[in-house]
Amino acid sequence: MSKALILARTIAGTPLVWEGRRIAMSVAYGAHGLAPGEDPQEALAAADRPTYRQKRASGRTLAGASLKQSVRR
Amino acid sequence: MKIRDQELLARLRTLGSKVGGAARTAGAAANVDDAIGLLGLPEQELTPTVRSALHHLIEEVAELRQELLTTQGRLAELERLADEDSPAPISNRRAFLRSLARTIGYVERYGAACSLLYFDVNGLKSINDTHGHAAGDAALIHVATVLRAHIRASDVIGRLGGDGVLLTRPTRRMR
Repeated sequence: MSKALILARTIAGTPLVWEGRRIAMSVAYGAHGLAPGEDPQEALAAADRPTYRQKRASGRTLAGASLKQSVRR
Repeated sequence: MKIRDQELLARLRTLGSKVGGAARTAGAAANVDDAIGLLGLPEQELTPTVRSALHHLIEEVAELRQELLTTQGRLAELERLADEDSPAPISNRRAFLRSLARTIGYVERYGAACSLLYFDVNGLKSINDTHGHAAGDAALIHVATVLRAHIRASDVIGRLGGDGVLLTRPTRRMR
């Protein structure tokens, strides 16, 4: 099992308690192996792509702005 | 008096005058002797005026060093605060991008294997809508905190301002 998957499951198993209420947490995740001389923005986009694919595949709503938008800022 | 001596004295006086009426301590006097040894000044050049100027200069340097240490300490604290979104130890955009660039540098120079992991919180918009933006923010901090508890201290966690939390971590021991 990949470390990313283990961490994603750990997050899913740890709900947020907010004002006395439990809010279930789940995450889509993506991993990218950093390449020598790679541009940091490119690396961010490369980690975002599999995350986005997973999010779409799981049929969950893509909530709010994706990482790509924050990368362009 | 030689021209070189006059120049030296003038410079020492300028620096020394800043110190004003600083007290002559036994420790400072010992430091004057140390300085003389370090500078390799010949005995015949050590007039009382030169010694006194040297004494002032040493005090001035000590004072400046103390000021520098204080300033450096304050700067380090401000740097630390600027790099974190309180209360969890999460790098902000600026700090995370800087750290990412550094990690890529390690990959390039030392052949280290490192991964960039991205965790995007599902349904953050609905959390924001149902519980308010403070809850959405708490959700992101919660995810980062859970991650922090399950990774190495050297792994870097950051937020860029979107719905996700990022993580850089070495995946293989460097050879």
